[in-house]
Amino acid sequence: MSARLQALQRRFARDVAGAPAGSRLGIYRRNAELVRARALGLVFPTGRRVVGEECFERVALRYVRETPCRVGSLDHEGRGFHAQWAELVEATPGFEELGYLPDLARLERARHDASIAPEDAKFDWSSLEDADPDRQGEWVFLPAASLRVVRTEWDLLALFDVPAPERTGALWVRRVGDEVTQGAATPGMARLLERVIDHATLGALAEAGLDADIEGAIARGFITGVRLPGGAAS
Amino acid sequence: MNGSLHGAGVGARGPHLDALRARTAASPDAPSWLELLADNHLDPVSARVASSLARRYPVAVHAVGMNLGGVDPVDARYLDRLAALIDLVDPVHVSDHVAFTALDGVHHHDLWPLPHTREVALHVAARVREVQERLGRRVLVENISTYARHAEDDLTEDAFLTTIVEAAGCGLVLDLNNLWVNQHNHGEDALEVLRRLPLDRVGYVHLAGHTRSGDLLIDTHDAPVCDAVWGLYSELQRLAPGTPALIEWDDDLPTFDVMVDHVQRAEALTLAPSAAQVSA
Repeated sequence: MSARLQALQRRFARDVAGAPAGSRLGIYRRNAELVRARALGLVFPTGRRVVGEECFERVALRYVRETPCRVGSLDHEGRGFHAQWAELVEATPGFEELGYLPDLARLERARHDASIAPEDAKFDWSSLEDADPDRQGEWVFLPAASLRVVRTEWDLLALFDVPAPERTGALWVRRVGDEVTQGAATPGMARLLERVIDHATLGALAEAGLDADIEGAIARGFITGVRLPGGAAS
Repeated sequence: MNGSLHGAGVGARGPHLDALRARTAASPDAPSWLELLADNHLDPVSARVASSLARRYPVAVHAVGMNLGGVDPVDARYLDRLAALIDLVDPVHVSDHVAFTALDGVHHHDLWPLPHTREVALHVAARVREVQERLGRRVLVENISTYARHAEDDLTEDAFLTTIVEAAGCGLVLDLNNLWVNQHNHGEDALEVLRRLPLDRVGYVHLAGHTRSGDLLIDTHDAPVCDAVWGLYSELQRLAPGTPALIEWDDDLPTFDVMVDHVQRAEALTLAPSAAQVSA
C-alpha cells in the first residue's frame, strides 16, 4: 500500500506545485505558502516592521517557494532567510541603508531559537568538588541551552531599545525565565561563548587564552554545566 | 483529567489568553473547556501557558503534525514531545487529522487529502494504532475540508472515516464546518454523511467559519459559524445528545465576548445526553 499511496501523494504534490492560481489545487499551494510566510513573520517581527508588510510578504513568499520545509515545526522556519535579505538589499535601489537586514535576520532567528530552547540549568559548583584536577584540560563546559552568539558590526540593539555603549562586533542572546534578552558581547566573551557552543575543552580554551572569562560566563548564566572526563555532566 | 468534556469550548489563542486566565470553566462568561493546539505548546515557555490553562479548564489537545495519512515514518521525536505535553496538561482527548502533511521529508504545513479507498483507510488506521501505542492512549481523528478529490476515490467520506475508526479503535473529532464545506465543494450531502457516521465515537465536534472564493468555500476559520453549520449541530444533538462542541476560530479573531456568544449559542443547542449514549 505504501508504495502506491506514495506515488499518488507524489503526483498530488507535483500537481499542487504546478497548479495555476485560483484553481482548486492552487488553493493548496497558496495555503501552504501563506502558512509558512506567516510563520516567518512571527520569527522575524522586527525585520517585518522595518520593511513593511507588503515587502515582507513578497520576500517571505519567494523564500518559501525556493526553500522546501524539512522540519515539522514552523518554529524552525527561516534558517536561511538572511540570505534572502542580502539579495534583496543588493538588488533593490534605495535599500542601501538597510544593509543590516541580513544580520537582523540572524539575530531574530537566534532570538526565536532562544525562545523555544529547553530550560536552562543553573551551574552546580559542587559538581567540580570531586573532579580530578590533573584532568582539568579535558573538562567541557556546557552552554545554556538558549545561548546564541550573533556576529554583527551593525548597532542592532538599538532596534530593540537596548542601550549599546559601543559596538563590539558580537551580540549574545539567551532566555531568562520567559523573556529573551540580548546584549553586546566583548570580543573575548564572544570568542569564548562560540568555543563553548562548539564544545571546546578547557585545555583548548586555555590555549586560546579564553579561560579568564569562564567564571564571568558562569555568573551570567551563559555556561550552565560541565562535562567531566568519563562522561558525567552536570 | 478523567471523564469527558461537557458543553462548549474554544480554541485557546494568544489574543484571548488574558481573558481565559482571568476566568475558569465555572465562570458564567467563560467556555466550559479549551482546545490547545499542540504544536503551539511544545516548547517550555508555551507549555507553561498550556499548563496554566489546564489548571482552569478541562482541555483537549489537537495536533497537526502526526501526518496520519503520510507514508514517511511516524515522527517519534514529535510524538515524544507531544507525550510530554500530554503528561503536563492531562487532556480529555488527543487528536489529529485524516490527511497527509509531509512527503519525502518535505512538510507542507497544510492538510492535504487522501484517496478515499479501503486500502488507504487501513493504512491510516495502522498509523493511528502506532500513535496510540506510543502515546499509550486512544486518539481521535478529524475529517478535513477539501477542494479537490482523488480520482481513485471509491468510498464515501463517511465510509472512509468509519473504516479508519473501526480498524484503529480510535474516536472522531467531527468537524461540521468541514462537512458543510465539502457539501458545497463536491456536492455531497453533509446531513447524510453525518447520519451515516458512527456518532457514538465522536468525542466532540468542531464548529468554525469559512469564506467564499469564487465557486468554492475555503475552510479559513476566520468568520462566525454559519446557519447551515448550526443546523448540522442541531441535527447532531438530536442524534447524539450531549456531544460537546468546540468553537474553532484562528484568523481575524473576534473579541472574547464574541467567542463567549458562540459558546453560549452552542450550549443552548446542546441537549442532555441520553442514558443510552456511549461515552466517546
